[in-house]
Amino acid sequence: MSEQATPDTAPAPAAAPAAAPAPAPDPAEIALREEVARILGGTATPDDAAGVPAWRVTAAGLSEAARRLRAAGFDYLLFMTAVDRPAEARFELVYLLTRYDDGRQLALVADVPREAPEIDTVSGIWAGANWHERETYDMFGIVFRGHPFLRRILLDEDWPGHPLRKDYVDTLHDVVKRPY
Amino acid sequence: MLPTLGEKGRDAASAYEDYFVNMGPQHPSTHGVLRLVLKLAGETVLGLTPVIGYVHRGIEKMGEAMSVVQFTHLTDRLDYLSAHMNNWAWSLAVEQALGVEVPARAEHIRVIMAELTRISSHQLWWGVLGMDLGAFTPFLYGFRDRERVNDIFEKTCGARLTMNYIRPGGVTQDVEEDFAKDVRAFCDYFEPVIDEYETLVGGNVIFQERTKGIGVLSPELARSLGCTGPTARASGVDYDVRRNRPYGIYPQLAFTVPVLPGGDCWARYLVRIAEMRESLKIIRQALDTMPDGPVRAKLPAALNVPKGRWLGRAEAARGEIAFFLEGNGTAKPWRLKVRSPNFSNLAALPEIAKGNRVADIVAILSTLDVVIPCIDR
Repeated sequence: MSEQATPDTAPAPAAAPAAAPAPAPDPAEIALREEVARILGGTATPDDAAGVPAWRVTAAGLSEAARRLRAAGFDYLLFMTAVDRPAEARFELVYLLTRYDDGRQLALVADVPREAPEIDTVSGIWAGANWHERETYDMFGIVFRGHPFLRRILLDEDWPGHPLRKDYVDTLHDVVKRPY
Repeated sequence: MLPTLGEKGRDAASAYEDYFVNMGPQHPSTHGVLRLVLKLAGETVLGLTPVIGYVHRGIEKMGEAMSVVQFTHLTDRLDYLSAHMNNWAWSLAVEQALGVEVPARAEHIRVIMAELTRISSHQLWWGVLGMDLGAFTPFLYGFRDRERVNDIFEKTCGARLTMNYIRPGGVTQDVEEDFAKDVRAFCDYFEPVIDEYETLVGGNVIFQERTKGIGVLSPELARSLGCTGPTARASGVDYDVRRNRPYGIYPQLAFTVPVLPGGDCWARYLVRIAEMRESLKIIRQALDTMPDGPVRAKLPAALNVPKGRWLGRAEAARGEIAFFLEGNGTAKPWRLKVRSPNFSNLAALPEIAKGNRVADIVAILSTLDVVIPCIDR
């Protein structure tokens, strides 16, 4: 399951549109990048997507990376969620970590295959992950191994399907698809 | 005496005939459509499970079908009492993605509007807290003063609840001519009223007995759950997005972040009262330094969200609201996630409610000050 080479990261810098902001040489961000590289060592690779500084880890290595970051002071899990990438047959799990003292932010990104999405829970590391993982299970159908209470949180227990998947079809409400 | 849940808690609990009670989803003290399943032994709460999702509208899914500017009006519908801050946090995410600089006048208007919203939100909270604990008068006083703030909002942007005023690039339109006069008049009016608030409710012995030592949230649990806002600050977590991760013109303004170590309902009450005073200070400073000029930056003609991950974080009245925006080069967001402060704050309720009486749940819920549409999204 450790699919490290991701096809979408290759053409990123060349294909960036003109509207993309110039990357600001923020000294705080450089310091953060160095610090996180030291904490995670070789287990993570920096992700070159624009915006929030991000690191990619394997699905198997996620809980270890999370534990190390937590021990190094990233005590505030802002949220965790998933991004559906049906074209590449994977879900991208995004963990937004910050610190209560300086508010520095980073994203920890792990891929899980779309047909059997499973990953270890981090609810033992940050208690707040409990509800966020339930929501991700609810909306994307991703199974968190070792979660204490993995049930739907926002939708009904018997709701069919997982609405935030890109291929979700609302069979219950017969929504009229309009062209706009 | 309350039966305690110590080592023999299980035995003590089974000695009673446990039963479950549904509090809500239609209950006046839940401030919306929130259902709490209480496991009780007599009057004592052995356990509590919040059941949420009754007003889930799929806002994140809706956002994937509209442009980033169109989505702004849906952010009002999350925490409707922090409408300006929600607009602002979303605008921050979009402005980062599009690389837009906001004019200085708009930044000042944003700060004034956000702090007025914080005050009006806390006014409502204060009134409702009184009503939840059995006093009807604070409710009337709170709404009396909230009217004045709403009048300012109405004069500026035509709306009193869902503002849709702060938007990517600045604000919709410039403020009215006598905006500064109105806001100053409100500040001068409201400053002594806060003292009245404190005398009326905080000075009341019954109120103090209902809140002191009730529902203690430890700083460790608050951090672990990701609690923010007055709820976390009343537990000694010294965190405020406006200071710890500044945005807008907050770095230029002098204000203190009230932090108390107690963690109980009383501390949460005191922190919010102190925040209203700080907000008045911030508003006055922003009014003093407000420059002339444009209020809206020119946005690119094609509002395509470039590839990447963006995060807009702001301090709403109840804690940190964040919008996660993932673009793929088209006009519509590929993924949009709302990090709700209430969602994380409510997660503390099962833990801090244990061992309290049913009537205390009302006080705890009221001082956590959750807004359900923000939780359910």
